[in-house]
Amino acid sequence: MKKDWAPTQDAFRHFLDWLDEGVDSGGEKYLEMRRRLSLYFDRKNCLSPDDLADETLNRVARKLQEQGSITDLSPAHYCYVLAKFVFLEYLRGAQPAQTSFEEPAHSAVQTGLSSSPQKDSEAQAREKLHKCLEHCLAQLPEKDRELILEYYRGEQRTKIEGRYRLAERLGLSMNALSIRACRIRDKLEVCLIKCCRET
Amino acid sequence: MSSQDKGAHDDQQLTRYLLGALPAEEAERLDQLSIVDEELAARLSAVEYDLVDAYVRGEARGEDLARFESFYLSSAKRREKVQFARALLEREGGAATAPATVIRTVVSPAREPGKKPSPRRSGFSPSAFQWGFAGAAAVLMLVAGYLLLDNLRLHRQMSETRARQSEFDRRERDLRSELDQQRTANAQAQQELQRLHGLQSGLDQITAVPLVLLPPSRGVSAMPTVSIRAGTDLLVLLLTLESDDFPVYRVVLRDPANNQVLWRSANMTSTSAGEKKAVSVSIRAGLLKQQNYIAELTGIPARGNPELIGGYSFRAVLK
Repeated sequence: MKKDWAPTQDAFRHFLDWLDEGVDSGGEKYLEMRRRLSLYFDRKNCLSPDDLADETLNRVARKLQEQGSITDLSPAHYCYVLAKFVFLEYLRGAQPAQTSFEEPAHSAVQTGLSSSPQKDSEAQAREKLHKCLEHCLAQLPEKDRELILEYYRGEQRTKIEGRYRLAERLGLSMNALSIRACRIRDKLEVCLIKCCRET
Repeated sequence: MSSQDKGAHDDQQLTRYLLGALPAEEAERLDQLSIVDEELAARLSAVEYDLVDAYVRGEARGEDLARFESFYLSSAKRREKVQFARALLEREGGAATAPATVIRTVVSPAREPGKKPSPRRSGFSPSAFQWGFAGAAAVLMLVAGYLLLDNLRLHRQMSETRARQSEFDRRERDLRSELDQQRTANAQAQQELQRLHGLQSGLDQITAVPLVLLPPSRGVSAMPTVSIRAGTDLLVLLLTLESDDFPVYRVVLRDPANNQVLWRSANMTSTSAGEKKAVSVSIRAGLLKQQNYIAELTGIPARGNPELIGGYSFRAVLK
């Protein structure tokens, strides 16, 4: 969560509980909401979607602390309403102090691929990306690794047929399979970005 | 979400949403659902991965391709997704050749035993000499197997190196040609500016800044940026064409954040930009803020419906 106003530990715990809606997710709901908000701002072509997602969650936590409870809307809906406000402020250029809109969003993979051409040729950067990919695939449990590689293998019809076979083999519906594959790919992307940034 | 609603959000609609091609009202509804509705958020994520994969595999076509390049690739985060998908695809290419190597390695020795001298053919009863010979043959086979494996590995490395080299050569050629085009187009932009300045004496007072935009390409390249200083009157965009297929063109300037149309050109004809053709438009600098823009170019045929040619993304920086 971002600075400026910081919730106390109790307030943050209360915020996580409120997001969980009575079922302890161990912080998963918070991370998922942050991911969705970041994607929302990114689809709006905002320059710092992660910062805006943090700003939104910060405001929600502050409102919750001020009001004690928010019952008129579901947590997700309330987050959306505040995200809209944050986006409108962004459009008007009345950006919150802690959010920098001047600098384009930092792209770890792109940095890995194209920045500092003197030091890091494109081929080296590509090699780094591939090494990171192997490293991140190796971090996955074997079942997940096999699933994601098989799920995204092939082109058009071959791919679709492969997915049907995979779903049948795993005893899953196509929808459940696609959700599982997406979650694994999300994890892989997070790992890849981290790896490209660190190596 | 009712099942009726779910049906309404088919993959095609989600794809158009991700490409910024939905009307504002519909897009806003999906904005909300992408945060509030768990199932839709997951579906959207799946559709996005498939969309990106289709692009890196070269399966995207027509308006989807144009929108992908003009809208989707305008975000650094989304360009990261494309890089990642490309790496995954390249890995898949490498993996696809691996089983063949294994099969050949396993099969080759299996064919060899048929050539071994059998005790019946040799006419000798099993002896120390025979066992020694068999042992030596086994060692030779092991060495041969190792050499075969090593040979295959070297062959694979050579093919990879050749593929990389040819990729570098191609990229170098592309960059050189892009640079030549940029140079020619820059000269053309200057000429265009001079022509505009010459239109009437009053225009001599006008300050304009040119920006040459190359046709949207499949590669992930940095977004062109134009710096607009205080006092600038016009931004002259020179949209270079892959091919001059239409008698008339129109340009629309959009805000990619909300897909809103900010400016429309009149009907334009193309002009020469070196060996290429281009469409030149002048936009009042006062209209621009510090943000990303998309100049959408549409071709108007003599008969039939207008056709979206592509979106030229650029970023304006106010100084």
